[in-house]
Amino acid sequence: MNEMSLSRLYRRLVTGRPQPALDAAELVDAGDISESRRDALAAKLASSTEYADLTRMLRALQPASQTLAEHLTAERRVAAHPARARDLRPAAGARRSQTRHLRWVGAMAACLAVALGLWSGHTDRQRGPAEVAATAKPAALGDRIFTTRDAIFASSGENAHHHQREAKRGGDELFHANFSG
Amino acid sequence: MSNPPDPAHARLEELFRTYGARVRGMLTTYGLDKYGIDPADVEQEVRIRLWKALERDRFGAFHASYVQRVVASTVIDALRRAEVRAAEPLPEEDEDSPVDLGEGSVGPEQSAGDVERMQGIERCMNEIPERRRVVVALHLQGFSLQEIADLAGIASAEAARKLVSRGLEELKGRLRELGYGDFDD
Repeated sequence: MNEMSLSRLYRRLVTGRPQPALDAAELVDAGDISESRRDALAAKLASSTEYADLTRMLRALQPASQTLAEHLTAERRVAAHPARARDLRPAAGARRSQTRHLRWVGAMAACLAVALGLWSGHTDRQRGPAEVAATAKPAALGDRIFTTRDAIFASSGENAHHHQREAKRGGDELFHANFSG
Repeated sequence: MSNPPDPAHARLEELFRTYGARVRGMLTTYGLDKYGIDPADVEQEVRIRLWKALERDRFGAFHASYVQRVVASTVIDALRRAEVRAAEPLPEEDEDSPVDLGEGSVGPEQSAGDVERMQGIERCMNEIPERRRVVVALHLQGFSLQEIADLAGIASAEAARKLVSRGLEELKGRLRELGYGDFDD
């Protein structure tokens, strides 16, 4: 039976003919080349069954090449930054559990600090400001300048009677004025 | 005592092995093994070239177009080597035997008829204007309308379809006028 398929006969016609000179980059970047080079490339592909088949194969291979290029770039990124090396780093789950422990300890410490702060504030309010002031600095008790027990304040406050009794007993001779002659 | 295998090297080896197997499978799928090349050889060559490229520049970005170029140049080199091998005369070949046109074995009568029709097709193709001829030839090579539009710089697949349709009608009409009969696509 005679072969009447134009496609099959044409492919048989051009198969085995000397291959036109073709650059791999030209073949891969067919969509991005200039108009004059594109026409020349189309003419070469039209006259070479081998290159036509190769072009179709490359188009089908494009997604696999894209995936490989992405993997290789990722591997190189790891190699360029050893600190990011995946083998040295625990998996994401392990990293999460480690940070969870640290976070728990930090939260407990923060709670303890807040509780101590609240407790100390609460006890200070119960004692009142005067008491707090009196007990806050024990060293202030020894300050004689501001104490009402000093003789200079003898005429006032609750010590006045004490000084009067001392005066009656003649305790203070220096400042005792006797106008009776 | 042998050193433990480098995990990065093992990962790359696995990536190249997977990709190489894909390339080998596609070479067979797209019939490139018919042109005298060995898919296993091409696969190995692609892997070697990719390793070398990786060694040359360890930290640069790797683009898909580069990977594609490595495959394309490897296959082109293999096709050229096969072409050179095919051009060398075989000592036991009989000069009077019919020419093998690459599509399997056919009988002498059919082969003679096919050769005549192929000569007619070539003659008629050369009479078609170049722009239309390239588009028709790309169609006969098996490219889709969109691929033809991309390769020939035609605005759309629909415009490519019209060009292909007119070109085929013209080609078939000329073949009919020359007495070759009616052809299918």
